[in-house]
Amino acid sequence: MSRKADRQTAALHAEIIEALPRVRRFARGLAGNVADADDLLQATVERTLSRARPANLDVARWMFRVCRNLWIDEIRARNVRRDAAPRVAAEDEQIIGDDAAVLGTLGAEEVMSDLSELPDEQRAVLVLVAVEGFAYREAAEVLEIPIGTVMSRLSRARATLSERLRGSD
Amino acid sequence: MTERERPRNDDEWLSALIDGELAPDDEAKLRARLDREPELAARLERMRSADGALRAALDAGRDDPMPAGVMALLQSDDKVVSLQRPDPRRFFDLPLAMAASAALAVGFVLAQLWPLQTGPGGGAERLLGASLIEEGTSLHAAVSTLPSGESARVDGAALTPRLTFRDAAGVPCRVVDLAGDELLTEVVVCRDGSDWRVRMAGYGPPRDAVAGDFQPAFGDRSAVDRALDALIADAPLGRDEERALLERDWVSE
Repeated sequence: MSRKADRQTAALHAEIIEALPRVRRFARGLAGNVADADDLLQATVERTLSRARPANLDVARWMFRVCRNLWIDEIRARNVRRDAAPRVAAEDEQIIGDDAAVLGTLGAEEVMSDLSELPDEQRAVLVLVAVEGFAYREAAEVLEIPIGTVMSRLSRARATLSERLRGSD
Repeated sequence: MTERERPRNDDEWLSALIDGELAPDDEAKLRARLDREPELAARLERMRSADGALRAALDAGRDDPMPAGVMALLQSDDKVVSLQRPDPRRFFDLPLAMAASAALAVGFVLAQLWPLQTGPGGGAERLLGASLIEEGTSLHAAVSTLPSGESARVDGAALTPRLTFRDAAGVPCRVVDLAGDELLTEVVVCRDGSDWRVRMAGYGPPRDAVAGDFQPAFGDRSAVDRALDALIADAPLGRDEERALLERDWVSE
C-alpha cells in the first residue's frame, strides 16, 4: 500500500474510533441489548470500512446511517427467521435480561425495555436527537427522511416513552 | 423553520421546544401557553424527564470496553491505535470505553507497567495520564538511556528501543519494543518536557527473535513502522546523533 493510502486508511480508522462510542450508544438504543448492539456495531464498522461514503456525510454521520440501515435489515432478517422457527426466535427476542448488569441499574433496564417497545424508526430518531443531540436537519439527513417526519416520529416517541415511564413510577 | 416544518400538534411543539428548534417568536408564544396551561407544562416536564432517563440508561454502558471484534477490524491492517487526541479541547469527551479499548490494544505488558484506571472513579484523564512515562520510573530510565538495539528488563518485560527519530515539530521520539511472554508491544514515545508520551502503540505475538537481529515483529513491515510514515519527519537518527541525544538527556541543541 502506498504511503498516501496508508495515511488515508489511518485517518479513516481514527475517525471511526472517535465516533465508536456514540455509534455504540446508538446501536444499543436500537438493539436494546448489549450482544445485538455489539454485533450491529461490528457490522457497521465493517461496512464503513468497505463501502464508499456519500460526499455529503462525515464519517460519524455515515456510521449512524449505516448502523440504522443495518438494524432495519437485521430486523427484517430476524422476522423471517422468527416466522420460520418460532422456538429459535424466543432466544433472539431477549431484551436486556442478562445484560442488565452491564447496562446499569434497574431504572436503566426499565427505560431500555420501554424504549425497545417503540417502533424502530421512532427509536432511531429519538436516540439521534434526544441522546446524540442531532439537530432535526441533521437527523433528517442521516436517516434520509423529511424534517417533518423527524418531528412527528420524535414527538410520538417522546410522548409514548414519557407515558410508559410515568406508568412505571 | 419553514411553514411546512412547523409543528403540527402539541407534542411536536413541546418536542421542538426541548430541542431548541423553535423560532424565537414561536418559542415565546409557546412559553406563554405553558404559563397558562399547567397540564401542558406537566407534559413538557414528563418528556424532558423521559429524555434524561433515556440518556442515563444509554450512558450506563459507556465505560464498557469496545468489543474486541470491532477493535480488531480497526487494527487488523495496522494493529495500531493512536493515543494522541487530535483536539485537546475535546479531551473530556473522550469516552473511557474507547480509551480502555486502546489500552487493551496496548497490551498486557504496558498494562502491567502502567497503572491504567478503567473502573468507576478512574477517568479518561487518568488513563491518558497513564500514557505518560514519567521521569523517575524504571520505564522512563530504560527508554531514556538505552541505545537502540540494546535491551533491559523492566518489570518483567524486555524493553528494547528500536530506533530514534524526530517528528515534524523536531521533537525526539523513539520506537520501543516491550516483549512479554505472550505479547510483543511496540510503542512510539515522544519527549514531553522531561517525560515521554506514548503517541502510538501496536501489538502482536512475540517474534522469534534472534538476539540482536531486528526482525520485523509483524511481517515484512510492522504496523507501527507503517504508521510512522505519518509521524516521522525525516530518516531515523543515526547512531552518533542518537548517542548525542542520550548524553544530553534528550535536550536538543
